[in-house]
Amino acid sequence: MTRYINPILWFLGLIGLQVFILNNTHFLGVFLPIVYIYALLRWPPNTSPSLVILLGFLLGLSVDVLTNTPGLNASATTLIAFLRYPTLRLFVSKDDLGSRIIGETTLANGAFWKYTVLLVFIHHATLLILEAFSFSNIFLLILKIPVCTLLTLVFIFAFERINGKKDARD
Amino acid sequence: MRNILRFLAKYSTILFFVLMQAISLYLLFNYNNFQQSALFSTANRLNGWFFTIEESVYGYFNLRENNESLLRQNNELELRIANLEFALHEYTDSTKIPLLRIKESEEFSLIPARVIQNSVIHYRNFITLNVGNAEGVKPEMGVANADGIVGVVSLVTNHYSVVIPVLNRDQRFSCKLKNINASGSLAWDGFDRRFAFLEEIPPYVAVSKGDTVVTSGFSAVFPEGLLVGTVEDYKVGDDANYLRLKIRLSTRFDALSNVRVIRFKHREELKKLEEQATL
Repeated sequence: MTRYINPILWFLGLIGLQVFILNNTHFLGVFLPIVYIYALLRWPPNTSPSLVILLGFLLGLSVDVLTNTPGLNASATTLIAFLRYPTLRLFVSKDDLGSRIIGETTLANGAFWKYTVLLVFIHHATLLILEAFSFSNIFLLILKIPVCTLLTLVFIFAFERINGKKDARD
Repeated sequence: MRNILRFLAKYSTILFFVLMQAISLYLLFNYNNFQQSALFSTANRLNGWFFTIEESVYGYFNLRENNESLLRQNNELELRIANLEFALHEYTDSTKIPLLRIKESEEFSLIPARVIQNSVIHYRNFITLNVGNAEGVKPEMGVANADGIVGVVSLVTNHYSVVIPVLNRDQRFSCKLKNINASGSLAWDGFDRRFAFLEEIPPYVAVSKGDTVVTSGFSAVFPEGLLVGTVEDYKVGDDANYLRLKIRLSTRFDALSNVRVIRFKHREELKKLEEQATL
């Protein structure tokens, strides 16, 4: 039970960070990092897939309720919650995974970053396309997806520095 | 029966995912229905409480801009008082006709409010105010500050309300060019928070850069003549039947703090009349 306390704290902390601080920052006017999904990426790997999907949905919906965008973040986050396990298995063998933590220091050969980059990209692409819901300003959309992904990855890199030491101890 | 159960067990994860995704998309694409529902917005009590706390911190960051804006407003008012006193003096001395026919204050009244949550980065931005039903705010009331128009109230609870600002791709505002009285509709393209576009202006109108754009007063939302911005650039629209003017907005949406909700006193009457006319 205790090993769920840390992920839950990240869950709540990241929603707060996203809505109250990061949504007020505007890098070059139109780009923003979307960091709350880090809580979902880090969630312990041996959780039932349906529970992970439910968590993803609730995570997205919490952000939606606080930003007046019902369903937008929920949809994108539910998608990556569903894709999380298959993506993880793409880079890590079942035996290696066991009940370990998903983190930079615990997964070998940079698997964590491959997994993170892929999921963050899918999430941002889904979110931004759904938000625009038209391809009229396609240039801005094409620019937004990689730049926002990059910004988010910078934040996740920083979060991994916070978590890394603790992971190594566990 | 057993096969169905086995099927459900085998694909339970995928089915659950499809269900959750369906709920999300249902919320997303029925968005307009949910605008009326406080549960899914910043107008609900818990969120209002969170954002009140947030605003009490962020409020400090905009103090400088707000101060400047207040000073400007103060100057303007002092100037007006001076002018009025001068005029009053003239009249009382000579003919003693009562002056100061303030039509605005009879038709419109103002409700002061503070912005507790604001976004400028999305395609559909929203603002949350700390006033609601208790202060007399109703949906479809206009919101403005000393610099210019801000938006229109869309959702109201007892103590909070959500405003759709000019910076929202779904909302249009009826505006006109001040000096030539040509009107069109103001829309935002979702890109730059400093500019919006005034569309549907006839092409024969002689527009020049720097012209002032004000509200048209065609709806009960804003009185006529509130400042919107100035013409930055103009070009012929896609179908050549209209001009599309790029407007530099006078309101700074990223530093909003003190605003006023505009209450049109005969709104109910006007609405009723318009309804009758369409029947």
